[in-house]
Amino acid sequence: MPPLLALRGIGKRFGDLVALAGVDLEIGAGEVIGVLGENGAGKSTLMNIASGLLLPDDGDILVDGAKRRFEGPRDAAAAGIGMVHQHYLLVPTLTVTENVMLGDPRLSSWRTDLKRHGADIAALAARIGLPVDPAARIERIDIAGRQRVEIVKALHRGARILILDEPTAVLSERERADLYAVIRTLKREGVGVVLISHKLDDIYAVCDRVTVLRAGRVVDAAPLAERSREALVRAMIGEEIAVEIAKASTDGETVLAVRDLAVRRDNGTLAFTGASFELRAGEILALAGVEGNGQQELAEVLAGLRPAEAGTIAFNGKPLTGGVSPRRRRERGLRHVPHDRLHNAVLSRRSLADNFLLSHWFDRAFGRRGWIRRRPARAHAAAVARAFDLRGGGPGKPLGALSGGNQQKLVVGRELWGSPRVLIAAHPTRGLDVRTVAALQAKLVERRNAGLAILLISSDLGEIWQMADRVVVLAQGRMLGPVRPGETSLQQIGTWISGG
Amino acid sequence: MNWRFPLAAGRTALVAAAGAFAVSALFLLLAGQDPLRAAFVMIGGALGSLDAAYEVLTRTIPLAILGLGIAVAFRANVYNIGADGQFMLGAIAATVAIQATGDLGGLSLPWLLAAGAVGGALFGALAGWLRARFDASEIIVTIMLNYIALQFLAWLVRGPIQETVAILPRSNLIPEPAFMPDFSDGQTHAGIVIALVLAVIVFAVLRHSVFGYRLDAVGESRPAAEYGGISAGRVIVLAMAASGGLCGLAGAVEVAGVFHRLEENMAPGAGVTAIAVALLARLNPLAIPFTALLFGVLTVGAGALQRQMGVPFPLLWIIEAVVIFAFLLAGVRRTRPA
Repeated sequence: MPPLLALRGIGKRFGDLVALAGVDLEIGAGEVIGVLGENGAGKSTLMNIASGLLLPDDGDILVDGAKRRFEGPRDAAAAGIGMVHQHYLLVPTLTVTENVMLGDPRLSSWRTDLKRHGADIAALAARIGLPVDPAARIERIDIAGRQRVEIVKALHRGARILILDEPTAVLSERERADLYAVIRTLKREGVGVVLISHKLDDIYAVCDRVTVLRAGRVVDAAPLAERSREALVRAMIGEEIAVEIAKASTDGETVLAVRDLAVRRDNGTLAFTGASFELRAGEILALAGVEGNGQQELAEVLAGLRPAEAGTIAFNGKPLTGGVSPRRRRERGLRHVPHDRLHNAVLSRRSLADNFLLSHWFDRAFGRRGWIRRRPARAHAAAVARAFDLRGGGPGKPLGALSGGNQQKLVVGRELWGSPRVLIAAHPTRGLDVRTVAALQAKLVERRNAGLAILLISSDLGEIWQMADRVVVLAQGRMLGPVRPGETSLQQIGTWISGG
Repeated sequence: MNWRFPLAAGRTALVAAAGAFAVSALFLLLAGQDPLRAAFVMIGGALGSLDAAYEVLTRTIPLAILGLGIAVAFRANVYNIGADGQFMLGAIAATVAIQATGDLGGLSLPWLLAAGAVGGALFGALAGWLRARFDASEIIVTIMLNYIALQFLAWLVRGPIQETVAILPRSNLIPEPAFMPDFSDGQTHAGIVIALVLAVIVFAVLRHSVFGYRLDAVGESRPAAEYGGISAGRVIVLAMAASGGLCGLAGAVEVAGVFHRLEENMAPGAGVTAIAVALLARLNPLAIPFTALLFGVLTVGAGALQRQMGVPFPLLWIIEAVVIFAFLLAGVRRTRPA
C-alpha cells in the first residue's frame, strides 16, 4: 500500500538562500513522524509545501501514490492534509463552530445551518478526546483551547494527515500530556501525524519515526527506537554542546521588592492578590505556573505598562509608583522581554538598528540634541547580532524578514545591552532550538554571575530547575514560595502549579 | 515605510496613476466625451503656456505643504482628515495676527507665517489630544472640526473682521510688507521655495530626529512603542500639532502669497487632494513636491476641461478618489504575506 503522503526530492530556494534540497519524507496511516531541526533548518518550509502554502521548486508530492500539485491550502485540504500552524489562524470574535466552518465548502449556501455543524463538531471533538465548546467565542478561549480548535478544524475538513508545527511550545506540562493522548487516539484512528518540534521529550513521547533536518537537508531518518537522545541532538546541531550550566553562588542586595501586589487582567478580573517577593542582585528568581495565572500582568506592572490594583514595588530602594513611566524605569536599568514579543516588542518593518534603538533611543549614546545617531546604533545592533548568533539579517533588511527565533534573539540581546540592573524575561528561550536555548541560558547565567537580577517567567520546569536560584509560583490568584530548587522537590512545585 | 523613492515607490505611483487615468477615461466616455481629446485639453491647458505653468505652480504650493502635514500624521498612524480646517485656522490666525500688530517691516511676513503655523498646530493638537486622552477617532473629530473652522471663518468675514466697506465676505487687505515675494508680475510666489525647503526639513526630522523615530515607532506599533518607553499619547498629540502646524502654514502662505486677505473658499477640497498627494508619495516628504505638482497639473487641466469641453470640474474629484483607491489596493497587495 502506498504511503498516505510522500514528499520526494523536495527543493526550495528563496533568492540565494537554499531552504530545502532533496528532502524526502513519507507518512503512512496511523504513523507519527517527528521532524526535528534547529531554527531555520527548513522544517516549516517543508510543512508549508506539504500543506499547499508554498510550491516546491523541485521534487514531487504524492498522495496515496499519485502525484499532486497543490496550488493552495485548499488543494492540500481536499487531498486530506491539515496543518496546525505555530500561530493560530482563528478569528477571535467568531465562535468555534464559525471558525471551523469558515471557508468550508460544505457551508456554501446563505442559510447557514451552524447548529447542526456545531453538533457534528462537538461529536468529532468528543470522539478524539478534545474538550471543545462549539458555541464559545475564540477570544474567550485560552491558548491550549485554541490549539484544540485548530486540530478539530483540520479533522473536520477530513484531514487524514495532520501536521502540527511546534504544538507544545505554548503548552504547560499537563496540557502537553493531553496533547500526547490526542495524538495517540488519532494514531489509532489511522490518521498520519507529523510532529514538528525542538523538544526531544515530545518526539520520544509519541513518535514512531524521526527525520532530522539540518540546513535544508535530511541528515538522519530512522525508527525512533534506533536512536538515542544524544545521537539526535548531534544530528540536529552537528556538534556536541555543553548542557551543564555552571552557577556561581552570590548573595546580593535586594533590587526589587514587591509587597502585597494585586493586579487586574484586561477583562477586569483580579489576576492575583497579595503577591510579595524580593529579587536580589546576582539571582535568578523563577516565576513558575500555568500560563494565564497573572505572569504577564505581573511583568507588565513591573515594566510600567499596567497599573497595579494594590501593593507597593521598590526598585533600588525607591518606590516605583504608577507615575514612573516605562522610559524612566528603563533608564534606571529595568529591562523587559515580554510575552508576546513578536507583536509587542519589535517594529517588524524596520531595520535591526532601529529595533535595537527601541530600548535605547533615549540613551545619550544614540541621541544628541534631538537627533538620532544611527551609526553607533548599527554598530551595537551588529554586535548583538554577532553575540547572539543572529541569522538572516542584513543592512537595510526589515526585522520582519527574519525568523521568529532570530527576532527573539535580538530582543533578548538588546535588553541585555549596556548595564541593566533587573531583567524581566518571559519565556526567553521559548521556541528556540536546542543549541540556541543552551547558549541563551548560559548567557543569562553569565549575566547573573555578573550581578544582574533576573526574574525568569517560564512554564518549563526543566529550565527552571536548571537555572533558578529560587522559585515562586503563581496559581489560583496567589503567590507561593519562594523555595530553593535544591531544598524542594519538583513534585512539590508541580503540585503548587496545578493548584493542589 | 519606504524611503527609497522613486525606485520602489515609483511603481505603485505609476500603477495608481495609470489606473486613475483608465477609470477617468471611462467616466469621460460615459459623459459622451472623447477621452483622448480630453487628455490633450488637460495637458495643453496645464502646460501649454507659460501662464498656465505659473498657475500650476501656484496650485502646487498649498498641495505640497498640506501633503507634508498629512504625511506627518499618517506616519504616526493618525488619520488627519482635518487639513482643510487647520488650513483655515492657519489663514485666520495669520490674518488676525498681522492686522492686530499692523506693519512690522521685515518681520511682517515671518510673523504672519508663524501665527498661521501656531493656529493650525493648536487646532491639530486639539484633535490629537482628544484621540490620546479619550481615544476619540481622529477621523471623525477632524472632519467635525473642519465644519467648525468653516463656520467660524464664514462668521469672521461677515462680522468682526469684515472689510471696512462691508460689501463682500472678506477681510481688509493685509499690510504690503507681509506679502509673499512674487515672480513674473505676481503670477506665482515664493511659497514654492518654502514648500521645497519644508520638504527637506520634514524629511530630515522624520528620518534623523529622535522625534521622527518615536513617531514612526508609534505609527508602526503602538504597543511596541509603549514597551520601548515611548509615550504614544504624547507622540500622537505632537504629531497632530506638527501636522496641523504645516496645514496652518499652508493657509498663511495662501493669505500672504495669493489673496493678501482672508476669504472663504481659498483652497476648496485641497485637504482631500492633499491626502492623495501624500499617499501617492508613499508618505515620503521628498516625493511630495512631485506628487503635488502632478495634482497641480490635474487641477489646472480640469479647469481647462471645464472651460473648453464643458466637462464638470468634479471629474477631478473622481480622479482623486480613484488614485486613493488605486494606492490603497496596491498597498494592500504589498502588505499581504508572500
